[in-house]
Amino acid sequence: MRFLFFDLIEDFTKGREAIGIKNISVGEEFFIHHYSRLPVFPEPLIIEALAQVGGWAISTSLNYRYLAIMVMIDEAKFFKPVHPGDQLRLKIEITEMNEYGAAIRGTAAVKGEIVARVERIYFTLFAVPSTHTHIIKKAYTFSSGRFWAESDDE
Amino acid sequence: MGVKSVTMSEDFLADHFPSFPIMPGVLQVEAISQLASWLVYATKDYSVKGVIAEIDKVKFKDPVKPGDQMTIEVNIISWDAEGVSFRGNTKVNGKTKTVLDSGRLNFIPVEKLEDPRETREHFSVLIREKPRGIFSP
Repeated sequence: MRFLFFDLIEDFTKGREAIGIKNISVGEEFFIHHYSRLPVFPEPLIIEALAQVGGWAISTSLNYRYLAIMVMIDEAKFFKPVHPGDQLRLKIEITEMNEYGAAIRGTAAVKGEIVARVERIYFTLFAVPSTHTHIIKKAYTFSSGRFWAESDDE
Repeated sequence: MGVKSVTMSEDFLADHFPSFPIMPGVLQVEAISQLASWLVYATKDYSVKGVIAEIDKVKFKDPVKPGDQMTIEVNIISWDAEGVSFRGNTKVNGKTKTVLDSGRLNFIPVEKLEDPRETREHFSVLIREKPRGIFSP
Protein backbone atom coordinates (compact mmCIF):
# COMPACT_ATOMS: atom_id res chain seq x y z
CA MET A 1 0.00 0.00 0.00
CA ARG A 2 1.29 3.42 -0.94
CA PHE A 3 0.69 6.19 1.52
CA LEU A 4 -0.58 9.11 -0.53
CA PHE A 5 -4.11 10.00 0.45
CA PHE A 6 -5.14 12.91 -1.69
CA ASP A 7 -5.08 13.19 -5.46
CA LEU A 8 -5.74 16.86 -5.98
CA ILE A 9 -5.92 20.16 -4.17
CA GLU A 10 -9.10 21.73 -5.45
CA ASP A 11 -8.97 24.97 -3.51
CA PHE A 12 -6.48 26.65 -1.20
CA THR A 13 -6.37 29.91 0.75
CA LYS A 14 -2.93 30.48 2.21
CA GLY A 15 -2.85 30.21 6.00
CA ARG A 16 -6.56 29.43 6.20
CA GLU A 17 -8.10 26.51 4.42
CA ALA A 18 -7.83 23.91 1.70
CA ILE A 19 -9.99 21.38 -0.09
CA GLY A 20 -8.45 18.13 -1.26
CA ILE A 21 -9.94 15.34 -3.37
CA LYS A 22 -9.34 11.63 -2.86
CA ASN A 23 -10.84 9.09 -5.22
CA ILE A 24 -11.52 5.72 -3.65
CA SER A 25 -10.56 2.94 -6.06
CA VAL A 26 -11.43 -0.74 -5.75
CA GLY A 27 -7.85 -1.43 -6.84
CA GLU A 28 -6.47 -0.28 -3.50
CA GLU A 29 -4.83 -3.25 -1.82
CA PHE A 30 -6.39 -3.08 1.62
CA PHE A 31 -9.89 -3.71 0.23
CA ILE A 32 -8.97 -7.41 -0.10
CA HIS A 33 -9.10 -7.73 3.68
CA HIS A 34 -11.13 -4.71 4.68
CA TYR A 35 -13.53 -6.41 4.14
CA SER A 36 -13.69 -9.36 1.77
CA ARG A 37 -17.47 -9.15 1.33
CA LEU A 38 -17.91 -5.43 1.79
CA PRO A 39 -15.06 -3.10 0.86
CA VAL A 40 -14.90 -0.20 3.35
CA PHE A 41 -12.24 2.52 3.27
CA PRO A 42 -10.45 2.20 6.66
CA GLU A 43 -11.53 5.03 8.96
CA PRO A 44 -8.04 5.93 10.23
CA LEU A 45 -7.05 6.56 6.61
CA ILE A 46 -9.73 9.26 6.41
CA ILE A 47 -7.94 10.94 9.33
CA GLU A 48 -4.65 10.47 7.46
CA ALA A 49 -6.15 11.97 4.29
CA LEU A 50 -7.30 15.05 6.21
CA ALA A 51 -3.90 15.26 7.91
CA GLN A 52 -2.11 15.05 4.57
CA VAL A 53 -4.21 17.84 3.07
CA GLY A 54 -3.63 19.78 6.32
CA GLY A 55 0.12 19.14 6.23
CA TRP A 56 0.23 20.24 2.61
CA ALA A 57 -1.68 23.45 3.39
CA ILE A 58 0.45 24.26 6.44
CA SER A 59 3.74 23.65 4.66
CA THR A 60 2.64 25.56 1.57
CA SER A 61 1.40 28.47 3.73
CA LEU A 62 4.86 28.61 5.33
CA ASN A 63 6.59 28.67 1.93
CA TYR A 64 7.89 25.09 2.36
CA ARG A 65 10.18 26.14 5.21
CA TYR A 66 8.56 23.58 7.55
CA LEU A 67 7.21 20.06 7.33
CA ALA A 68 4.19 19.21 9.46
CA ILE A 69 4.12 15.86 11.30
CA MET A 70 0.89 14.73 12.97
CA VAL A 71 1.29 14.21 16.73
CA MET A 72 -2.25 14.36 18.14
CA ILE A 73 -5.81 13.55 17.10
CA ASP A 74 -8.87 14.78 19.01
CA GLU A 75 -12.49 13.81 18.43
CA ALA A 76 -12.69 11.98 15.15
CA LYS A 77 -16.17 10.75 14.29
CA PHE A 78 -17.27 8.55 11.43
CA PHE A 79 -20.88 8.75 10.33
CA LYS A 80 -21.07 6.62 7.20
CA PRO A 81 -18.87 4.00 5.53
CA VAL A 82 -16.88 5.02 2.45
CA HIS A 83 -16.76 2.56 -0.45
CA PRO A 84 -14.90 2.17 -3.75
CA GLY A 85 -16.29 4.57 -6.34
CA ASP A 86 -16.78 7.31 -3.79
CA GLN A 87 -14.97 10.60 -4.07
CA LEU A 88 -13.87 12.10 -0.76
CA ARG A 89 -13.93 15.85 -0.51
CA LEU A 90 -11.49 16.73 2.28
CA LYS A 91 -12.08 20.18 3.67
CA ILE A 92 -9.64 21.47 6.25
CA GLU A 93 -9.28 24.69 8.15
CA ILE A 94 -6.03 25.81 9.79
CA THR A 95 -6.95 26.78 13.36
CA GLU A 96 -3.49 27.41 14.85
CA MET A 97 -0.11 28.05 13.32
CA ASN A 98 3.13 29.27 14.87
CA GLU A 99 6.79 28.31 14.69
CA TYR A 100 6.35 25.25 16.94
CA GLY A 101 3.22 23.69 15.66
CA ALA A 102 -0.07 23.95 13.84
CA ALA A 103 -3.56 22.55 14.10
CA ILE A 104 -6.43 21.89 11.74
CA ARG A 105 -10.01 20.76 11.88
CA GLY A 106 -11.65 19.04 8.98
CA THR A 107 -14.52 17.18 7.39
CA ALA A 108 -14.69 14.50 4.73
CA ALA A 109 -17.75 14.47 2.49
CA VAL A 110 -19.09 12.20 -0.25
CA LYS A 111 -21.61 13.76 -2.67
CA GLY A 112 -22.13 16.68 -0.29
CA GLU A 113 -22.84 14.50 2.74
CA ILE A 114 -20.38 14.63 5.62
CA VAL A 115 -19.06 11.11 6.36
CA ALA A 116 -16.37 12.00 8.92
CA ARG A 117 -15.32 14.92 11.05
CA VAL A 118 -12.15 15.59 13.06
CA GLU A 119 -12.18 18.42 15.61
CA ARG A 120 -8.45 18.80 15.93
CA ILE A 121 -5.29 17.36 14.45
CA TYR A 122 -2.12 18.85 15.92
CA PHE A 123 1.19 18.88 14.05
CA THR A 124 4.75 19.51 15.12
CA LEU A 125 6.74 21.54 12.62
CA PHE A 126 10.18 20.50 11.44
CA ALA A 127 12.34 23.17 9.87
CA VAL A 128 13.47 22.41 6.33
CA PRO A 129 17.03 23.58 5.58
CA SER A 130 16.90 26.45 3.07
CA THR A 131 18.94 24.30 0.68
CA HIS A 132 16.06 21.82 0.54
CA THR A 133 12.94 23.97 0.37
CA HIS A 134 12.89 23.73 -3.44
CA ILE A 135 12.67 19.90 -3.18
CA ILE A 136 9.65 20.16 -0.87
CA LYS A 137 8.10 22.75 -3.14
CA LYS A 138 8.50 20.50 -6.16
CA ALA A 139 7.08 17.44 -4.35
CA TYR A 140 4.16 19.39 -2.89
CA THR A 141 3.32 21.10 -6.17
CA PHE A 142 3.31 17.67 -7.82
CA SER A 143 1.14 16.05 -5.13
CA SER A 144 -1.36 18.91 -5.34
CA GLY A 145 -2.19 17.91 -8.90
CA ARG A 146 -1.86 21.59 -9.86
CA PHE A 147 1.28 21.17 -11.95
CA TRP A 148 0.31 24.16 -14.02
CA ALA A 149 -0.55 26.46 -11.12
CA GLU A 150 2.86 27.88 -10.29
CA SER A 151 5.88 28.62 -12.39
CA ASP A 152 9.34 27.72 -11.05
CA ASP A 153 10.50 31.30 -10.71
CA GLU A 154 9.48 33.22 -7.66
CA MET B 1 -2.32 -7.89 23.86
CA GLY B 2 -1.18 -8.19 20.26
CA VAL B 3 2.06 -7.95 18.35
CA LYS B 4 2.84 -6.25 15.04
CA SER B 5 6.33 -6.45 13.58
CA VAL B 6 7.36 -3.49 11.50
CA THR B 7 9.47 -4.31 8.46
CA MET B 8 11.26 -2.22 5.87
CA SER B 9 9.46 -4.13 3.10
CA GLU B 10 6.14 -2.46 3.91
CA ASP B 11 5.24 -0.41 0.84
CA PHE B 12 3.95 2.60 2.77
CA LEU B 13 7.41 3.30 4.20
CA ALA B 14 8.44 4.56 0.74
CA ASP B 15 6.06 7.50 1.14
CA HIS B 16 6.11 7.79 4.92
CA PHE B 17 8.62 9.26 4.74
CA PRO B 18 11.19 9.32 1.94
CA SER B 19 14.56 8.68 3.68
CA PHE B 20 12.82 8.68 7.09
CA PRO B 21 10.75 5.48 7.34
CA ILE B 22 8.37 5.40 10.31
CA MET B 23 5.19 3.42 10.96
CA PRO B 24 2.28 5.79 10.22
CA GLY B 25 0.45 6.84 13.39
CA VAL B 26 -2.98 6.19 11.91
CA LEU B 27 -1.93 2.61 11.17
CA GLN B 28 -1.11 2.22 14.87
CA VAL B 29 -4.62 3.50 15.56
CA GLU B 30 -5.89 0.92 13.06
CA ALA B 31 -3.82 -1.81 14.76
CA ILE B 32 -5.25 -0.94 18.19
CA SER B 33 -8.78 -0.89 16.73
CA GLN B 34 -8.31 -4.22 14.94
CA LEU B 35 -7.16 -5.82 18.18
CA ALA B 36 -10.20 -4.40 19.97
CA SER B 37 -12.38 -5.76 17.16
CA TRP B 38 -10.91 -9.27 17.59
CA LEU B 39 -11.58 -9.06 21.32
CA VAL B 40 -15.20 -8.14 20.56
CA TYR B 41 -15.35 -11.01 18.05
CA ALA B 42 -14.09 -13.61 20.54
CA THR B 43 -16.25 -12.29 23.38
CA LYS B 44 -19.43 -12.23 21.28
CA ASP B 45 -19.05 -15.89 20.23
CA TYR B 46 -17.49 -15.10 16.84
CA SER B 47 -20.65 -13.42 15.60
CA VAL B 48 -19.77 -9.72 15.27
CA LYS B 49 -16.83 -7.49 14.48
CA GLY B 50 -16.34 -3.90 15.55
CA VAL B 51 -16.06 -1.08 13.04
CA ILE B 52 -14.64 2.27 14.07
CA ALA B 53 -17.18 4.96 14.94
CA GLU B 54 -15.06 7.34 17.03
CA ILE B 55 -11.40 7.96 17.78
CA ASP B 56 -10.49 10.51 20.45
CA LYS B 57 -7.42 11.76 22.31
CA VAL B 58 -4.65 10.11 20.38
CA LYS B 59 -1.04 11.06 21.09
CA PHE B 60 1.87 9.95 18.96
CA LYS B 61 4.74 10.23 21.44
CA ASP B 62 7.61 8.58 19.67
CA PRO B 63 8.13 7.07 16.20
CA VAL B 64 7.96 3.32 15.52
CA LYS B 65 10.66 2.24 13.09
CA PRO B 66 11.43 -0.70 10.81
CA GLY B 67 12.87 -3.55 12.89
CA ASP B 68 10.71 -2.65 15.86
CA GLN B 69 8.34 -5.19 17.30
CA MET B 70 5.34 -3.26 18.44
CA THR B 71 3.14 -4.64 21.20
CA ILE B 72 -0.46 -3.49 21.25
CA GLU B 73 -2.66 -3.36 24.34
CA VAL B 74 -6.39 -2.72 24.41
CA ASN B 75 -8.95 -2.44 27.18
CA ILE B 76 -12.66 -2.48 26.58
CA ILE B 77 -14.08 0.16 28.92
CA SER B 78 -17.77 -0.47 28.42
CA TRP B 79 -20.24 -2.57 26.44
CA ASP B 80 -23.73 -1.63 25.29
CA ALA B 81 -26.23 -2.98 22.78
CA GLU B 82 -24.66 -1.24 19.77
CA GLY B 83 -20.96 -1.41 20.49
CA VAL B 84 -18.04 -0.87 22.85
CA SER B 85 -15.82 1.91 24.14
CA PHE B 86 -12.14 1.08 24.30
CA ARG B 87 -8.71 2.49 24.95
CA GLY B 88 -5.28 1.22 23.92
CA ASN B 89 -1.63 1.87 23.34
CA THR B 90 1.39 0.66 21.43
CA LYS B 91 4.83 0.03 22.89
CA VAL B 92 8.25 -1.05 21.69
CA ASN B 93 10.54 -2.69 24.27
CA GLY B 94 8.27 -1.40 27.02
CA LYS B 95 8.46 2.18 25.81
CA THR B 96 5.12 3.82 25.02
CA LYS B 97 4.80 4.99 21.42
CA THR B 98 1.16 5.85 20.87
CA VAL B 99 -1.76 6.24 23.27
CA LEU B 100 -5.42 6.17 22.26
CA ASP B 101 -7.50 7.32 25.22
CA SER B 102 -10.97 6.78 23.93
CA GLY B 103 -12.45 5.04 20.94
CA ARG B 104 -15.73 3.47 19.96
CA LEU B 105 -16.52 0.46 17.80
CA ASN B 106 -19.98 -0.39 16.52
CA PHE B 107 -21.00 -4.04 16.15
CA ILE B 108 -21.51 -5.41 12.64
CA PRO B 109 -22.48 -9.05 11.99
CA VAL B 110 -19.41 -10.85 10.65
CA GLU B 111 -21.29 -12.32 7.68
CA LYS B 112 -22.02 -8.84 6.35
CA LEU B 113 -18.30 -8.11 6.13
CA GLU B 114 -16.64 -11.45 5.45
CA ASP B 115 -17.08 -15.18 5.03
CA PRO B 116 -17.48 -16.18 8.70
CA ARG B 117 -15.49 -19.40 8.17
CA GLU B 118 -12.52 -17.44 6.86
CA THR B 119 -12.76 -14.98 9.74
CA ARG B 120 -12.73 -17.86 12.23
CA GLU B 121 -9.77 -19.39 10.40
CA HIS B 122 -7.90 -16.07 10.51
CA PHE B 123 -8.61 -15.76 14.23
CA SER B 124 -7.30 -19.26 14.96
CA VAL B 125 -4.07 -18.38 13.15
CA LEU B 126 -3.76 -15.15 15.16
CA ILE B 127 -4.14 -16.90 18.50
CA ARG B 128 -1.94 -19.85 17.36
CA GLU B 129 -4.75 -22.27 17.94
CA LYS B 130 -4.11 -25.79 16.70
CA PRO B 131 -4.33 -25.89 12.90
CA ARG B 132 -7.80 -26.03 11.39
CA GLY B 133 -9.01 -26.26 7.81
CA ILE B 134 -6.74 -27.88 5.24
CA PHE B 135 -4.03 -28.60 7.81
CA SER B 136 -6.26 -30.46 10.22
CA PRO B 137 -6.46 -34.25 9.90
